[in-house]
Amino acid sequence: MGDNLDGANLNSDGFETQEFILNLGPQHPSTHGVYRARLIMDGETVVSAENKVGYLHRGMEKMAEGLTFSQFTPYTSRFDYCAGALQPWAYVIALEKLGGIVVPERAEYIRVITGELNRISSHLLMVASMVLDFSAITAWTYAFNAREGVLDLLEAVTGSRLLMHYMVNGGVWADLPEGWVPKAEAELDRIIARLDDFDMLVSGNEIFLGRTKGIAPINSEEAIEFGLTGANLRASGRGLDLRRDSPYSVYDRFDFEVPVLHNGDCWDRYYIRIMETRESIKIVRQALKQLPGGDWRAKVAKVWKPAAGEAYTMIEAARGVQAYHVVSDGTAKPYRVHMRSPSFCNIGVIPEKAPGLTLQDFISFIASLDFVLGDIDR
Amino acid sequence: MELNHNDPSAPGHGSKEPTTLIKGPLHDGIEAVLDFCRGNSLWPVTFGLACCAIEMMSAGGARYDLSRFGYEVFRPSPRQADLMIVAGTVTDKMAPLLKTIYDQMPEPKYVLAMGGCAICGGPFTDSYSVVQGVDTIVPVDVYVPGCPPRPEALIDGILKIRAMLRHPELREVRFNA
Amino acid sequence: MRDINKIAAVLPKAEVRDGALVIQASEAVEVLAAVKALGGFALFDITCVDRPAGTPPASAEGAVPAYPACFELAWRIWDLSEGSKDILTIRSFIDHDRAEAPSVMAVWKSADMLEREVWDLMGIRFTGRPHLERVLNRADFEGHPLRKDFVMPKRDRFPPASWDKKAAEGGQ
Repeated sequence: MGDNLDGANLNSDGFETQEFILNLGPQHPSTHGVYRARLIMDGETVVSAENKVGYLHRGMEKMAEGLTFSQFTPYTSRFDYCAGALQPWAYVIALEKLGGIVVPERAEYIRVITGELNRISSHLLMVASMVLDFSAITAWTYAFNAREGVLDLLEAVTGSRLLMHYMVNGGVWADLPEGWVPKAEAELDRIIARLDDFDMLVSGNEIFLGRTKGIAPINSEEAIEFGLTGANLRASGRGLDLRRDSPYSVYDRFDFEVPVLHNGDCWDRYYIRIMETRESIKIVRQALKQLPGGDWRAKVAKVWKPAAGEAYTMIEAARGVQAYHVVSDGTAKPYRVHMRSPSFCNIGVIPEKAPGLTLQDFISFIASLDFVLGDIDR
Repeated sequence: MELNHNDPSAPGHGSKEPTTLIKGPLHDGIEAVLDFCRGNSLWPVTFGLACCAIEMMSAGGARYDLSRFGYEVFRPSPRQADLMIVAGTVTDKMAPLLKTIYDQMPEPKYVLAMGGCAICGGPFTDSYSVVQGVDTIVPVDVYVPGCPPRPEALIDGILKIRAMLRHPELREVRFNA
Repeated sequence: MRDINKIAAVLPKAEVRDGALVIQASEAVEVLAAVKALGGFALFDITCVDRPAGTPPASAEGAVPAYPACFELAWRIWDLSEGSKDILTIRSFIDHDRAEAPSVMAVWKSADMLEREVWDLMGIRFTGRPHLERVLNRADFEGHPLRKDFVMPKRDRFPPASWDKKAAEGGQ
C-alpha cells in the first residue's frame, strides 16, 4: 500500500489505483448459472476471490428423506443437469449394494452406452460454453450441433433430452429401441466429424490460445490437496480415472486410454475434454459391438425395503468423481442421502488460484473448471 | 407542444395514467405499430438458473434457431432487455436478486416462466429453500410447462407473447392452444 | 486397499470397528495428519449422519454396537496408492449437545468447502478455522436442515387456502 490515506497505491505504470469490490454474478453470462464470485480488484487484476454459492440450493438431500428410494432416483438427475443420464448411476449402485440386487449384464452395457453418450454431450456442452465466454458464437454452434446428434440418440432411448430418468434400481427403465444400434453407429461417425470440425476451428486458434495457454496452472500436488477430481485432475498430470483404476459396472471389458496432460492450465483443461470425448466414443463403439441379449432389469419389488445399513459408492461422473452415501434404517425411505459433488470440491481451488489473474483470465479459469451449479448447490 | 409538469392543467398531471403527448386513436395506433415491432424482436435477458437454461441455450443453437423469429439477441444486462425467461428453480436466496433484475428492466417488459420449477416449484415444491412459483415475486405472462420444456416449447411460449402483443385482447383469454 | 489394521497400528488413538477407523473427534487433526504422513492419501469427503438414540442400523459390512444419540461424522480419505482407489473411513461420534469438531483445514485444504457444507446443513461447528459461515443457505436461515429435529419453515402460499377449505368439507 502507498502512503495515501485513501488506500490508493501506485501501480507499476505510475497510475494511482484503488482496490474495489466486484460481484461477478449470480446473474452473469459467464458464470454458467448462478455462481457468484466476490472479487477484490485492483484495476484489472484480481487481488482476492471468494466463492459465493447456494443460489440454486434446492435442499434435495432433505427431500430424499421424505421420498422412497426409487422416488428419489429422478431427483438425482437434477444434481448435475448437464449429465442427467450419468447422475443416478452412483445412487443406484448404492441401492443395489444395500439390497443385494444383481444387475443383468445387458443392463450394465446399456448403462455404459447411455452414460458415455451423456459424457460426450456434457463435455461438448463444456467446450461450447467455454468458447462462448470468449464470444466465439460460431464455434459454439458447431459444438451444439454435435451435441444435438448425441441428444437425438439419447432421446430415442430415454425419451428425454436433458434429464433422463433412465437408470433405475436393478437396471435400466426400458430396453434399447428396435434398430437403434446401427443408427447409433452411423451417428457416432457424424459426431466425430463434427467434433473434428470444432477441434480444427478452436484448439489452435490464436486468440483462443492467447486466452487459455498458461492461465492459472494447477500442478498435481495442488490438485490433490484441493480435492480436484475428474478431467481437471487429469489435466494436471495425474492420470486417475475410476473407470480404469477401480472399474465399476463392466468398464474392465473395454479398451480405452485415459488421456493425461501435464501443464494444468486452462488450455489443457479444455483439450482434455476433447480427448476424453474421443475415448468415450471408442467405449460406446465397443459396447455396441459386445452388447449381449437378455433382460435389462432385475426384478425389484414395488415397495422395496433394503436391509438396514449404509453404502458409500463412487463413479467417474462427467465432472469428476461423484460419490453417494446412502444410509438405510430398514424402511422404504432413505434415512440419509449425501452426494459428494465433484463441482463443489473443484471450486475450492478458485480462491487460491485467482489472485494475480486479470478479470478476463479469471473468466477463462472458471470456465475451464467446468462446474455446474446444480451440482454445487444441490 | 411543450409539457409543463408543474402545471396542474397540463395533460396527464395528477392522474395515474402515463403522461403521453398524444392521446386517442392516434396513440393507440402508434402503440399497436410499436407492439407489432416489439413482438418480432423481443430481447431476452440471459437469466439461466438451472436445468432449463441448457434447453434455452439449445433453442438458440443451430438446430432450433431462435433467431428465425428475431429473439436471439440475449442481453447480459437487464437494462437492454424486455423479456425475462425465468429458466429454472428460484430459491429463497435468489428471489430478491430476481426481483432486482426484473425491476431493472425497462418497460414494457414480459416474463416467461419456463419449466415446472418456475411455474410452481416443480418437483422441489416441498423443499425448505425453494420459491413456489416465480409468479409470487413478479407477474408472469406466459407459462411453459415441462421438466425441462423442449426448445420447441420455449419458442412456442415466446410466440405466445408475440400473439399477446399483436392482439392485446388475448391477455384476458386463457391460451388453449 | 491397504490393510486397515496396519494403518491403525501406526495410529495409537484409533481403533478398527466394522471396516472403519473410529477416533475421538477431538483428536481428528492429529490422526488425519498421521494418515497424510503415510503418503498417497487425500481427503475426499466429509459425511455426517444424525443418528437417533437407540440401536443404529448395522453397517453394510456387519453389525455394529449400539450408539447413543449422536452425530456420526466421517472423514472419507481416498487411498490413491498403486492398485487401489478405495475409501478409508475415519469415524467419530459427537454429542448432540456439543456439536463440535476440530477443523482439518490445516491438514488438507479441500476440507474448507466440505466443512462449511457440514456446518451449514448439519450444524457441526468446526473450531480453529476462518470463515465458518453458511455456504448453501441464506445467511439469515434458521436451523440446520439435515438434522432430524429440523422443522420445515411454513409456506404461506402452497397449498393454497382453497385446498384447506376442500379438506374441511371432507373432499379430497
